[in-house]
Amino acid sequence: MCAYMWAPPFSAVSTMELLSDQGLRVDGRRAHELRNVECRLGVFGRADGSAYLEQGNTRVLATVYGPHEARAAQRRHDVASINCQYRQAVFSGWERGRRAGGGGDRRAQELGALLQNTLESVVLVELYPRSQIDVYVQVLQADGGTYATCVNAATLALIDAGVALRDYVCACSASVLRDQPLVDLNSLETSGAPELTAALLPRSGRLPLLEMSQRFHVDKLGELLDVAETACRDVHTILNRAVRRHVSARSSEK
Amino acid sequence: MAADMRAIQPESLYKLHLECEERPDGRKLDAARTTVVTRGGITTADGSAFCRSGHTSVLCGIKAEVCTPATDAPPDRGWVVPNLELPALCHHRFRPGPPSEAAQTASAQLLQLLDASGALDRTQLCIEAGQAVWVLYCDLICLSHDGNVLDVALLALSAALTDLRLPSAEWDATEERLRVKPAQRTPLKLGPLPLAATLAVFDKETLVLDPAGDEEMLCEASVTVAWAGDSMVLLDKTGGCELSLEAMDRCIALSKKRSLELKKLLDCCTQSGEVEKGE
Repeated sequence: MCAYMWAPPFSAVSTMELLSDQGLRVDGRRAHELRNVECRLGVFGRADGSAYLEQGNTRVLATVYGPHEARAAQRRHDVASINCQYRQAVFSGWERGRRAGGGGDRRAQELGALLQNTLESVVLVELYPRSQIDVYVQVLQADGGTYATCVNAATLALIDAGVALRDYVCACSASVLRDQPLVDLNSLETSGAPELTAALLPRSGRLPLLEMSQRFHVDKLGELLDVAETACRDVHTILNRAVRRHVSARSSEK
Repeated sequence: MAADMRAIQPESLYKLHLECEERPDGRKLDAARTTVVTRGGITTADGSAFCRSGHTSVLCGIKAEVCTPATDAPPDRGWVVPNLELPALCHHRFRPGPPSEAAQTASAQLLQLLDASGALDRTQLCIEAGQAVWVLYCDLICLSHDGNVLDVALLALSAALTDLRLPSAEWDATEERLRVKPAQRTPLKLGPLPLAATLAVFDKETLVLDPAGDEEMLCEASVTVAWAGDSMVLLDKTGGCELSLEAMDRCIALSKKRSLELKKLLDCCTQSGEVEKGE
């Protein structure tokens, strides 16, 4: 149907331009700097838990329903089952994406399953036998690091719903460009460099998720993991602050 | 006590509320929920708007694409494709899966409303007759569902259309190709936009404006009236009970009043471009 497309505003950016000689990135950040993070908990009154998270231009909404009685197919007698859905709005990218639903979007299904695995490692599922927790994330605008932002938003929504968690799960993307490790990539950098998404449980220091795209040299991995871990800890500080602010605002309301 | 009764006998509790002429959320029968319109929140879309009415929120993003008109279609007219999604995210009753019947019906209704209102002259979307026309994909996502989604969705669609800025495009006849300048953008010329108001009917004659989710479930029938300026573009009564002509007249009068309020809200937000509140 679409016969002509015009290129997005950034079509060909070489890796040279992604990192200036002064060590500044395309959006003016330094290599270890995160983008501006804005988050809000309890944005929707009708859901059991909800959170909105904005990381640079990536905007994500997460909603949690449950724990509630599980449907027969998902019921497990000893633990809760976690049901995740990842959706990306068709207008979220520079090019219009494929319509969701109808099983058309494989990548969304994969990310949903990945999110489920990540969250299963952190929710105290044994406290809610025979029940189900639904976590739905909706990407409203995607500008790199979408999956990491979804994990962070889902954590906040679970906290807002009062689901018992072992720890926060904090995720961040990282990359290496001209021997320089970078964190929290935007979409421009994602197109020009390999991307590693890591999720961290800050208290135990364990990584429930590690995913990479494109190849890079294995010697770089150690350094990259260190950088990603630091970034995840930074994210944790931000999320923790938001949760505390939200809780104190709630308690002063009452 | 009230919470117990709401769980066991929601209908009797609601009848008690109606007798006192005050609804469970504290509104009068003819009062709508606080409505908020925000335009241009999504920078990747060519036009976007977010509308909230009480606990119902709808986000609309419009993406413009160029395509060749089909041979059996008018060569000098573009298309508008509204699509409303009701994802599992918006209500605990919904399950993940293909679009529900309700979502598809609402999408069709939105298109019908937009065409009937004549707000958008589709010849504006023509770049070169028979060669290239714009298609406006209007995707609406219901983020939170608490009744009366169609009204909020239509408001979001109308607001997003006023926010839409189309890139300038020219057809190069010698090279037979299209030149698009994404940096130069112009708004559309829009006529009176369609705005809808829904009323729920209880006891065959009690009318309740802007029903919330619970009220929508309990009501006997619902009447949706949409207006574009001074002309009525949709009158839709669904549900079982019959309605007297006098009640119908009241529906029309109430919806007219509400659509004027919504129009005012939309005009405010068109001028300032930011958030405005209204009753």
